[in-house]
Amino acid sequence: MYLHEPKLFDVVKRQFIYKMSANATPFTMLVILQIISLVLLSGSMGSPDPFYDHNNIAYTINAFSNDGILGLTWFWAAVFGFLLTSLAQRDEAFSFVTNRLSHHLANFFVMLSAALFGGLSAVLSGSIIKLYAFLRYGEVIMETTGLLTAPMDFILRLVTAVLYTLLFLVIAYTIGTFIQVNRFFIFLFGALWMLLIRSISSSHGESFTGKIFHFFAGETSTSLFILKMIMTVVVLCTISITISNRLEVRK
Amino acid sequence: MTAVELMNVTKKYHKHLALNGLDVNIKKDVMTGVIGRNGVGKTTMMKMIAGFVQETSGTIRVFGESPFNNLTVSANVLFVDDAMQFAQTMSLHDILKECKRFYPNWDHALADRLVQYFGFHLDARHRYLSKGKKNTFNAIIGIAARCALTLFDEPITGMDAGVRKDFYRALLKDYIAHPRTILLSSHHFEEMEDLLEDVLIIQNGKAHFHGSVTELQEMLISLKGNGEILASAAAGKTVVYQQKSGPYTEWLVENTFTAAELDRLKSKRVIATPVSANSAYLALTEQRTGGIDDVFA
Amino acid sequence: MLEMDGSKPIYVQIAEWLEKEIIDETLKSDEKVYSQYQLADLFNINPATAGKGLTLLIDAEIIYKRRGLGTFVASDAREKLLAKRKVHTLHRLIEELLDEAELLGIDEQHLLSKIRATRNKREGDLR
Repeated sequence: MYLHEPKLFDVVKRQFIYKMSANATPFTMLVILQIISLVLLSGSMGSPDPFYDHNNIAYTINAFSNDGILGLTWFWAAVFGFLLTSLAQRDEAFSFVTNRLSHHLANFFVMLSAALFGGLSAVLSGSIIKLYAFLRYGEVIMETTGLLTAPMDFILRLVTAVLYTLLFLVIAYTIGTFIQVNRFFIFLFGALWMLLIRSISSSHGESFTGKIFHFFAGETSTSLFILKMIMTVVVLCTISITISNRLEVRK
Repeated sequence: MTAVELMNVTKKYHKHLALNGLDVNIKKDVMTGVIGRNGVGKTTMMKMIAGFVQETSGTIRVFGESPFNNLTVSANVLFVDDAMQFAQTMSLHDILKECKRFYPNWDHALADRLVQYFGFHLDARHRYLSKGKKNTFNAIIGIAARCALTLFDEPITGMDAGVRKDFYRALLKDYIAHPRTILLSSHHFEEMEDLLEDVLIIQNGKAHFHGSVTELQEMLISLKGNGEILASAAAGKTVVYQQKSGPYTEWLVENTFTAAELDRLKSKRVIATPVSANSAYLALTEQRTGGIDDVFA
Repeated sequence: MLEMDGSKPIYVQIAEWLEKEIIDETLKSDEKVYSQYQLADLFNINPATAGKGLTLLIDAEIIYKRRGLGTFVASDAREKLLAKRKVHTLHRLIEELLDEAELLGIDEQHLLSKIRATRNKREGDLR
């Protein structure tokens, strides 16, 4: 029988499609999570007691934010990234044609899709909140801008949300890969986590965690920020591929 | 033409030696049975050939390439066992569709007919199939994918007798129509010996015998008769197995008798008969420490 | 069909089955013999094993190969097989006779005279 010489790109593409349909549930979960938090947020939009200025004009201030949805999306991203490294996911991939590289590359494309989907939907949910607030209260002062008022700003917000979601996915994925290579990394990461928490609570000013935070969040140049994000993702992905390239499967 | 080559291959799991200097050449387009007692390294060998597990030492070549982490090997080799995993969300129908995308030789019409014949519901979930049903479904994938090398690891576990017969028949018919290299491991050698061209007996992590089923069968001859006469008849020959039942003693002896020698044995009232391939296998793999009867002795 | 009891090698059984087909003239002279793949499908066995059965008959010149066309029954196949069976059957009967004679302690002279006597008696009966 004649041998087939597959191209890496084709295998990655097939694995990507397979993994996307295999992981339909996490995506559905995110949509449900976001809808629930939207409903909760809009439910909290009650009218607080108005206050009056010296002209006796009544002011009612309602502050709405989609920060909660973004936070939830990032939490989801971390869980999903970790889930992608599970033994079951690996065995499922190796039921069909793949090697370790194509398996990881397909996973990265899944994460990229998840980041796009999660980041975009989180930001857009903010627009839904605005729309809701506008319809309900009529007059609203928007702090953040929309696509029409300041398109660049809006797009930048989208890009930032997507990149952060991707970062959370990839960090969790890398941690998960380490743990798949050797279970003892659970303890190492546990210890690291404790250290991070302590450094946040104990030190004032420039803690290690603070420095990491500023490395990304403190970056004022858009292009530098994007570059930093992408570099970090690429480095983390390379680490995942390198450490697990000798990993035995379906043992 | 060689499809698979293993040269002095060892595999260590922690301290346990699963394979210990295995030397095997599997011919291309031959259906080979991999047999041996539990835990002798059959599965380990097949998972190495599939590229899942890496050899500790030695060399493996599958279609001329080292299989571990090899995309070409993965595309042309299919490993079928009861632990094949598919995503929870996917129905059997979805899985067959994925097979179609991944395997260029996939015969979707055949897969559909087999799935229907064996009474599967296409919207069922793989995970919730019974053990026998799961293995039947996996075996269908193995047949319909028509990979250049297909490895079936204990495919018939849990299948009832009728399904086992049908599976062997389906595999044979498809093999006749599309000859390819097939490895089939099982404990039930007697069920599949007719199906096979070659047998590979693994014992203690090594190849104990590798040749055609006929060679295995003709390696030994069964002699029945008086114990003393047997002893003189088999002088100078390797006696593989001895069993005494009633007044008769049965010996399985290496088959190097000439026609004249056999005639002489006959006149001494020794009954010489061919042995089945399965008896030859059982005799060859008999533990040196004796049989189960010795435990109760 | 085949006995499939496993003790006699299958390729030998295949050859014997084909011999029977030729003797009872299901397969006639110069007729095409089943291919190894047809035999494999028919008896649910590996094609290589079926091939070995055919080779056995080719070597005995019971069937012959025509390149690209398949195998065919030799013109004298039936006669050959019948002759072989005659020798074979006679040999087996003589073996049994000798075994019995040995058991009863009858020597060769005695045995031969008995055979002659029986024969003479038969001829006398016929006359």
